Formats: sequence, structure tokens, C-alpha cells
Amino acid sequence: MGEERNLGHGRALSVWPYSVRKKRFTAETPGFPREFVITAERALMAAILVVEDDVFIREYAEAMIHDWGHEILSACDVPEALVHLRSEAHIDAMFTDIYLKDEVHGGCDLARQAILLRPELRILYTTGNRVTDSLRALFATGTHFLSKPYTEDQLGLSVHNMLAA
Amino acid sequence: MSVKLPVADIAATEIVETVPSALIVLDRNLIITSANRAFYQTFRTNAQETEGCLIYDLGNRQWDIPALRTLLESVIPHRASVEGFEVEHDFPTIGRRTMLVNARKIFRDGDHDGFILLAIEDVSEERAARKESVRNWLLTKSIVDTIRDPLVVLENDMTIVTASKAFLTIFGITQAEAHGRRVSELGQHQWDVPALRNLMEKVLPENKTIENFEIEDDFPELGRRVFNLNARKISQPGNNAHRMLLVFEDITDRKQRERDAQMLANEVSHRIKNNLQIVVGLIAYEIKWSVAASVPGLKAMQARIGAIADLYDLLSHSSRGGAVAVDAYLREIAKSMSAGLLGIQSGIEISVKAEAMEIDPDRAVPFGLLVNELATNAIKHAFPTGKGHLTLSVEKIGEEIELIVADDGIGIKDKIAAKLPEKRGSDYVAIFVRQLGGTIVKTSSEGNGTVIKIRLPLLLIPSGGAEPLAA
Repeated sequence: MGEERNLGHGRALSVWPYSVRKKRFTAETPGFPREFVITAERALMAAILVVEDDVFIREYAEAMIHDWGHEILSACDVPEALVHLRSEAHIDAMFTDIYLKDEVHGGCDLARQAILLRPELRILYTTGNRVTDSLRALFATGTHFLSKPYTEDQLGLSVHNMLAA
Repeated sequence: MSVKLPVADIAATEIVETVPSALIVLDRNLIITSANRAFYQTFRTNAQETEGCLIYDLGNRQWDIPALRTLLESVIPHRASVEGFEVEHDFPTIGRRTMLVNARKIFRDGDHDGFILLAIEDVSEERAARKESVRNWLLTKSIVDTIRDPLVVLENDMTIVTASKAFLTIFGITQAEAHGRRVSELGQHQWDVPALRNLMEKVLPENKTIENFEIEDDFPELGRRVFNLNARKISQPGNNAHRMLLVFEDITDRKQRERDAQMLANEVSHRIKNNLQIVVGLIAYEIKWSVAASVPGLKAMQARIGAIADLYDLLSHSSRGGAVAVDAYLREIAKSMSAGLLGIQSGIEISVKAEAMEIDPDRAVPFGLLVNELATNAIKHAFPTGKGHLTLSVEKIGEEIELIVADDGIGIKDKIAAKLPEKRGSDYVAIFVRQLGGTIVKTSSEGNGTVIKIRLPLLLIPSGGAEPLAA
């Protein structure tokens, strides 16, 4: 019944139909964070817009997020992201880098515009730069933050926290 | 019931003898008919020497002053009273004095020429103070005119008294146009900044000075400028009204350099972190396609890269040639690791005990990796119930740093330790300790926890006998 590949820590997500995936993850699965189990049981599948100008990093993030059962929309800069945000597409959350192409605070500006377009949108920021107080002041309220470099586990936790809020 | 006494009812003699002004009465021939006590005291004379004497003959002819002669012989005959007549003279008895003389013709019934009442006041001190004040002011003005920085002197009410050339240039106005206007009114009101006005209004009443107040704006014909302002109250002796001195320092170039440097640093940091992210991503793909046994090692590799990334922030923001604050670094590591403790592991608490100290940048990376290694090992093996305490501490002991990683978990059993896939983990510990030039002092493991103590030199002397690198 489907091909099983060992992805370590019980994450054989990508090759099983979603309904079956739901049953495979329990608290007994070794090393699997309980929070993810709850996520799977609630079938929390979201449409997430990923905004990142580095192609490799964006694809890495998208692959992980897709593995967890979410739908992906892609953008490499602010204008592309706004095209998605202004469309009719269903978007639950946005995961955006702050420094995009030439704009040092592109992600912050984007988030502000995004919330105006879609007030219920959840936001997760990421950056490699140090988060100073002045940068933090540019974050919208109720948003989340993840610093680079992040591992899959760290990304997973941040995405989960963002969606669960 | 109190008894009232209007001033007008007081006998003239009482008044005359009480007032501090020297009073003297002359007849039409300028002979002194009487004087009051104040006169005798001021000019060190008495009634016998004074009365009946021609004014010019008094004492050793100290009143034989051309100015007084003019007053008494030319002015008084034509005017009923004279006020504020100043006489400056070197009096033999009392030295150089400035006297203020009021004179009035007094007539009694039946008189034609009457008498002359002179009130003489010694205003020498006030005149001297005023002269001194004027001298100081001229000096101040000269300084103001010489200074190249924009400088302005303000009256108590914030209007301009005088301004240096540079100041006038900035605002494109002349000295005449500036005088009497408020700074906030100049130009296009660009100085009408609430924060600045508030500070200026606080400085005068509260006797504070302002230092290093930055203001940035677009100035006509100058463009965008950043100024650093200093302000100070000037008080002059004998003068109650305070003025204020305001100096602007043009720091636009310096600010621009700082901003450029900051932008560059941000650029570099962004690039490096993105590159580290790519490496972590590559390892993630490896994890996806590896056998289960390889996964922990690969994940550990990702965590180590994370530790180096944490260090990068501290390195790039440190001063003094890149020395790294060890205490701050430990707290960063503890924070990252705590954030990653989820679900069953969230009962593990990590605390840091560190005094302020620094380590040279060359040893910062192996140090960070060492701490990361020891802490990760503890988290993985010491707390099967998912609860416990882990402490990271550093202390200066003589010329060495002592690093202690201690937990209150289940302790290590040597045999089991050897079998753990983490054996490579212990090897890393040995490698990093060697790289740091240190030694593992103690690994103790009672039933109630494990303590690992490592000593490293505070200063690392590279082989070849070069100068020691300061920690």
C-alpha cells in the first residue's frame, strides 16, 4: 500500500495519501514531536505562500512544508508575492524572508501590505541578520519569527506555532 | 488696634537722615547750607567742615570737577531739575568713583533764586559691572565670529542675539535678519522640531546642558544634513537673564560612513547566513535519502552549523578586534537549545552561570562547538523522563577558564557510553578541547548526574613564541 521510505523519525509523509498519513503518527512513534502528532490528527492543512529570493533555500523550505501536507504558493520577491496576495487564491499563511533582492526590509513591507489585503493572514518572518529592537519594531503584531539557518525541525515548529495561533 | 503712620506724615528730617543717598543743599552762591548723614559718611567729612563752605572748596577740592561746574553753573540755572547726571572722578579720599547726581531747584516763599538740592549716589560698582559685562560680551562675539561651526547665542526667550557666519550660511540669512527671530522660525521651520524645542525649554529653567542631540533634515541649498547639537546656558555676573549658547556640528559625512558600514555588514551577514542555510538544506536532503542510522549524525551536523551561525552574530557585533563575549555566547546557545526542546523534552531546563569574559575569535568556534556538543549529549542521554536541569557555566580561575557542563540526570555508565553511536560525539569533545589548548579536568558521574569540567588557558600562546593573543 504505497511505497515506504525511511525518512528518519517516522516522517514517511510524502508517499502516503493524506488520510492514511493521519493514522500513522502517534505519540509512540519515536522522536516525533507530540505537537506534530496533534497537527496531523487535526488534519491542519494550510495554503502557505513562501517568499524567498534564494532559489535553493526556497525549494528546501517548500519541500519540507509540502511534506507536512500543506499547499504551497511560491514567490521570489515582493511584486510576485503581491500578485498571489491580490489574486482569488486561498492563502492561510505567508512565510517570508526579510531581506528580499535589493530591499533590506522587503519582507516587513510585504507583510504590512499583505495584512491590509488579507487581515486574517498569518505571518512567519525569517532572516539571517541579527534581530535588533529597531527591526523588531517593523514586525506586525501577532507574527512569528525564525532565524536562519533553520533545520527542518525548527521550521516545522515555527510553521506549526504560526498555524495554531 | 494698630496705629497707622503714612509716609507723608513722617518728619522730613527723619526721612532725610535715613535715606542712603547723600543729600546736600546749596544756596544760590553754591555755598553748602546743609547735608545729611549719608553725605558725611560717604565722603568722610562732617558738618563743621561742610556747612558754609563753597562746594568747590570742600575737603581738598574734590568737588572742583569741571563736570559738576557745568551742571551747577550752566545747566541748573536754566532747568528746574536734572536727573541722572553722571560724574566720574578720582576722589582724593575715596578713589575713582562714578557718582550719579540728581539736582533740583527748591524755592521757598519769597525766594527768587532758591536753593539747589543735590542727591548723590555712588554707582561705581554698577558701572564697573556693566563695563565688565560689555567687555565680556564683545569677547564672546569675537569668539562666535571666529568659530567655523554654526553657533548661535539665544536670549532667554529663544530669540537670536547673535550667530556665527556658518550659522547664517546654513539658513541663508544675514545677521540683521537673524537677530530677534526664533530659531524655529528660520528657514522653512525645519528647526521647529518638538523634541528640540522641548529640550531648549527645559535647559534654561532646569540648568541642564544638552550634549549630542542629533537632528536630521533637508536644508535649502545644503541638502540632507545630520547635525549634532550641544547647548549650554551662559550666565553673566550681575545679570539675571540667562542666555543660551547652541553649537551645531555637521556630522553628515560621519553618519553616512556609519550607515554605509552598517549596510555592508548587513549585506555580508545576509550572504553568510544564506550560505549556511544552503548547507543545512543540503544536509536535510541527505537526511531524507539516508538510512536511519545516519540520521542522528546528520542532524547533529545541522545543530553544529547552527552553533556556528549563532557565533557569527556575536563575532560581527563585537568590538576590539573580534574578541567574543563568552557569557553572551553561552546564553545564545542555551536559548537556541531550549527553543528546540519540544514535547517530551520540554521538561529540561538549561541555565547559564557565567561571569563576563572574552575569548579570542580563533578559539570562539571550537569553544562554541564544544559547549554545543556537551549540551547536546546531555540532552540526548541524561533525561529519559524528559525532565531535568542542565547547567552551563564558565569561571575565571587564575590564568584559566573553567567550563563546566553539569546535569542532574541519570549519569553515564562507561560501558554504555562506549556503545553509543554518540561515541563520535565524545571524540568531537576531545578534538575541540585539544584545539582550545585545554584539558578535561574531570568527568564525574554519580547516580544523580554528570559533571564535565574543562580547563582552557585564558591566553593562548601560539607555537613559535609569538606574542600571546589576549583573550
